[in-house]
Amino acid sequence: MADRDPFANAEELLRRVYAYVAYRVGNQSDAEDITSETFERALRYRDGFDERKGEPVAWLLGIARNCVYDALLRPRARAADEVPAAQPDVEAEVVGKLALMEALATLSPSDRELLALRYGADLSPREIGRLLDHTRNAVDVALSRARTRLAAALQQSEGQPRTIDVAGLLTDLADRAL
Amino acid sequence: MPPIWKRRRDPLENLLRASRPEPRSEFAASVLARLEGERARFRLAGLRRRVLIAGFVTALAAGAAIAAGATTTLASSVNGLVQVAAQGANGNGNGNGGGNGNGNGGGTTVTTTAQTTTAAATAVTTTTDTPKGGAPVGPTGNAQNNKSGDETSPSCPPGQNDGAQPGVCVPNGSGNGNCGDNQGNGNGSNDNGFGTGNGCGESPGDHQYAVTICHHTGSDTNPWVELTLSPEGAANHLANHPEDFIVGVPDNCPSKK
Repeated sequence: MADRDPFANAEELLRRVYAYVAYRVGNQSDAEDITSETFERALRYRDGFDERKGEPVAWLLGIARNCVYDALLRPRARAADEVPAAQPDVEAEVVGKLALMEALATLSPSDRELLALRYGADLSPREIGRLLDHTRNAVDVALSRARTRLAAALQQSEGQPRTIDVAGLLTDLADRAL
Repeated sequence: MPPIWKRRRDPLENLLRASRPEPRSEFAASVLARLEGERARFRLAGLRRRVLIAGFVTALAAGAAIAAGATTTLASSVNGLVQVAAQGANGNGNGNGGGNGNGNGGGTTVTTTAQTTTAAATAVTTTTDTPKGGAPVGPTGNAQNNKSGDETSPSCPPGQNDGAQPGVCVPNGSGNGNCGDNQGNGNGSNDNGFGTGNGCGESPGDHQYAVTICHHTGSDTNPWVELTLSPEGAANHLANHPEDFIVGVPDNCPSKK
């Protein structure tokens, strides 16, 4: 039974879970769906939270991981309407984030998982190790390799013409304006 | 590799952190509102649960109090039974010393079952078993003392009593009186002429140690009849029939009047 309220710091939890999911799936609408699903499941199974086993964010990320896997297994019906999860405030920033997302998309799921947990959910290597059942050293090494591969993917994408889903960006901007 | 305080963060890490996706404010608001509603419901449910638990604990405590009362009553009953049994084990101890202290009954009141069992097993009535009484230890002995242990000589200091001659005080003695057929010892220690005896009491096992008594019938043809009684029964019998006497072994009663 959960004596401590796992949603006591809900805003911070939402931010971290969403960033993890967005890094994993790469687009905003899927990230929002999966994040919503994550919190719905967490509410449903909140009695399963045991503070002795870890922090609420680790518990939520465990749920989010399952939701991401479920979402990745589902057929993607809205590929044409994909909107990048990044905020297109400035064109350069948008382009940079798009390049990052594209580079992330070329990585293996395990690399992407690690980077999302480390830089999206802002977990420490020790927490990631606990979540994935790895040692801290193993996580550090795997993260280092994932970053190397990401850098290579980014360098490779710099030389290629980038295609931007302008319609999607405009839709996103219009949504934000409403 | 440079030390950790001189290490510069990987630019890629900076990029990954800077590019960290943030949820849209509308989306965040909707999720947070949903969470807040559920939290309020959960708090209410938690309050209800706590009230229920408190009620349950109160009921449990009340039940425990009632049960404890019953246990106390039961314990009192058992204690009473044990004390009754212990009182049965208190016997008379004869300490034949210089002061001839006659210690009456003074067995320790026993309050536990285990002790009661021990006391009962080691105690036996000694009033009918004078031949096995302990030897006098005091310097004056029985013959020199006219006072019984229950009497106090007004002219003698504490620890002494009247001797054989009037006005001569003799020290109180102490004697160990054997409790007879059973293994209990009657410790008669006297002070001021009063004997305080750790009495040898009757134990459940005493009844198996029968005492043979020669009973005077008054008949010419069959003047003596041999009776085999329990020590307690023998004591009562002898109290009412002063002519009767105990024999050490059976078939030892006189054949003539």
